Amino acid sequence: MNRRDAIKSAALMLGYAASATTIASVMQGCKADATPGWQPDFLSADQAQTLGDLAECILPTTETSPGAKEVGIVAFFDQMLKDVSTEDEKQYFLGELKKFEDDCKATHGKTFSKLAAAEQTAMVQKYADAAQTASGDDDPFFTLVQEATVFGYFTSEKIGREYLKYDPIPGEYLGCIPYDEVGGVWSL
Amino acid sequence: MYFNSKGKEENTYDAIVVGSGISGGWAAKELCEKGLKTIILERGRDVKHVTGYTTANLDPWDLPYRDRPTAEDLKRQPKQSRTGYTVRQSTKHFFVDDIDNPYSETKRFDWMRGYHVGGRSLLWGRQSYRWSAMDFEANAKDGAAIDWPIRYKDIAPWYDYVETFAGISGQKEGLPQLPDSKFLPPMNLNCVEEHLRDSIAKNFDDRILTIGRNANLTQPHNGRGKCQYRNRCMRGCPYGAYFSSQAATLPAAEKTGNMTLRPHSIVNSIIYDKDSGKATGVRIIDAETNETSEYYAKVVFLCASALGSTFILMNSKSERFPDGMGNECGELGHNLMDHHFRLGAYGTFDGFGDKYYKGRRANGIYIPRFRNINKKTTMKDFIRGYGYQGGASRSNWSRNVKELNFGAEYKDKLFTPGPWQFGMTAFGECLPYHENKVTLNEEVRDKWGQPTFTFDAEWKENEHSMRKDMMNSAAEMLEAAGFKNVRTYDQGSWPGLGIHEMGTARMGRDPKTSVLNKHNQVWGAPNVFVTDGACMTSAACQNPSLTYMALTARAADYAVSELKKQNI
Repeated sequence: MNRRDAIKSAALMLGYAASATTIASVMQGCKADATPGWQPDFLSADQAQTLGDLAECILPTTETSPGAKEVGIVAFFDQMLKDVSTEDEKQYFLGELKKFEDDCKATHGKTFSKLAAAEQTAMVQKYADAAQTASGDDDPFFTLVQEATVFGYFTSEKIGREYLKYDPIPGEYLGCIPYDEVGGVWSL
Repeated sequence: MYFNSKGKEENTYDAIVVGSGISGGWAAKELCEKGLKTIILERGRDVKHVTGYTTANLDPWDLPYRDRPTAEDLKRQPKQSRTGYTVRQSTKHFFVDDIDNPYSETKRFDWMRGYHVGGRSLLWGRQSYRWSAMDFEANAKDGAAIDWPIRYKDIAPWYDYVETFAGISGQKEGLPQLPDSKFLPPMNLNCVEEHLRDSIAKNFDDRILTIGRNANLTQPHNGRGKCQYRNRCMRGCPYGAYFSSQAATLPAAEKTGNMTLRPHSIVNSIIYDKDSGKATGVRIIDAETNETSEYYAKVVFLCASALGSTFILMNSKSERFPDGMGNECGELGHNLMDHHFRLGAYGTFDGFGDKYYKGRRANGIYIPRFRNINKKTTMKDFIRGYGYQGGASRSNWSRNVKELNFGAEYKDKLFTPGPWQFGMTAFGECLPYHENKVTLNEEVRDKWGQPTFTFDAEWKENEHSMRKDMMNSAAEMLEAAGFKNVRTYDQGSWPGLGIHEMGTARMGRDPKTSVLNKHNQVWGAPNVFVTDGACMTSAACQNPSLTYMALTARAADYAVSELKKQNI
């Protein structure tokens, strides 16, 4: 199976038919670079690398908008884990991250970041599926990463100002206007 | 021993107002405008209009941690964070530090406090509803508690008066259970709210849906700007577009030249003169220096919030009032009420996929009470009633996308709005129960060495029975209107969480059963007026602040006329 087919079948597993454009974007998607020179406060360099690539798989770079890494998702994770998470939450999250890395190594003999795009997608899919069927009190690893990625991404300045519909001072409330007049989701 | 750096004369005013929130601001405005030299003693720091609203113009990315509280924040404010929306980077500075301001809980009570100039007038939900004749008669009719000493006709002109100044937007509906205010133009409903309104009108002859009535200006009013639909009210409004002490009452008081505002002034107790049978002033602790001093006046307005004013009365022990001022009846601190809520129903709507809205409306819909209004609507299982607040919107990127959770297609979907959804939350009346109370706790002291409160209050059978109906009736209305995936929910409601504390120094007709008379005067200390939530004899199901405004203006008018007659 070539790489393109692998991505196609991943798309099929997701239950939708991906367009050629989005497939092309996924292929580049998981490989975007983090901001050069940036050092994490809380995460190790390896952890930061893995989380960044994972977040990029969740919200990849496409033709229409930047991926998670470009809007500084790794710094966001680092800061939130450092100051917002409780000690218990930190330990749980890092423990789950380690299990994820161990699984990558056991399955492919490499860390997540060293995997080919299709292999990354398959790993993420495995954890996304596990999250769907998870029971118990603890949030599944995938859900934690996904929710934080989405939150960090859509509340970032770049996305909030340039890609969502940004209207800081609406001045009025119109309750029923054609969607086409807005053409996207509001930022605030 | 109390030491005054200034002489007694310098600390003497015509009137003392304790607290600068919704009630205190009104008391100060009215007393100053009627010519009384008035000092406002505010326990917290000053917050200047506009410049004090340090987060008002910050977007999510401008705020640390995208507005989320840190683990350290939650250690300082564990109780203030119980609402889930109060302790954020954008608002945490308007809520107290729970370590410096402790309280104890025999039963859980969520006490949200804003100690600063403006108090919770900066933070309130701004929903503004008149109480009706039904509400003031309820205790007398069903016998749940003592009768109110006033009726709707006593307060109606004062509602007119405060609404005209404050500016309340809303739609006239002509309902006996929810009298119309003097309205500014209403805010708009959106398409799905209009759909539900029309469906309710068609399917239910006992209920209506109307736009929320709120203290946000829909047009410029008395020199204040109109609402810009940013929905950042809780951070303070730079346009002065919602009613707050800073935007409305304090500037009016200041303009008279009669107002003195002293922040960092914790009123510890009231000084009572047994011979004259009146208060002569108050003792304060300077919150910054811990120095104590005294202030003197002919009349004292306690507007320190329901529980704040109750604390001061309880802590004002004298030969005449060994158990706290006004507590000969034994009711001071009792009959603690709040509204019970956090339940209702939600659902999605399939239509209007090509419609959207503009603006962030800091207001929702209101479905006024429809239970126990008349014979036909009388319920078997509970007395009194409830109303709904809520609204429709289209979900955004925070929604779950069906069968998609990562990848390019998923990301693209999150850039478009999801389906319309409608959520409804019911707010129910809580009865006044003598057993629901706060008591002084001498063991646990606050940062300034004062005693603190212990809470012991709970919902009882009437509230629990009402809650079932509150959930089911919401679902019934959504289903009748064709909503899909309709679900009921109950997130659990604890007293205090409605932030509508009431009743701990109630008004009444008899000093044996009440703390205040029909003019909000403390029985036995007629120059002490309590006009905040403490005075409420029952809770109704409407948001109460508008009623505090009206009662305060009415009491201030009476106080000045009594002063002129030298009766107090």
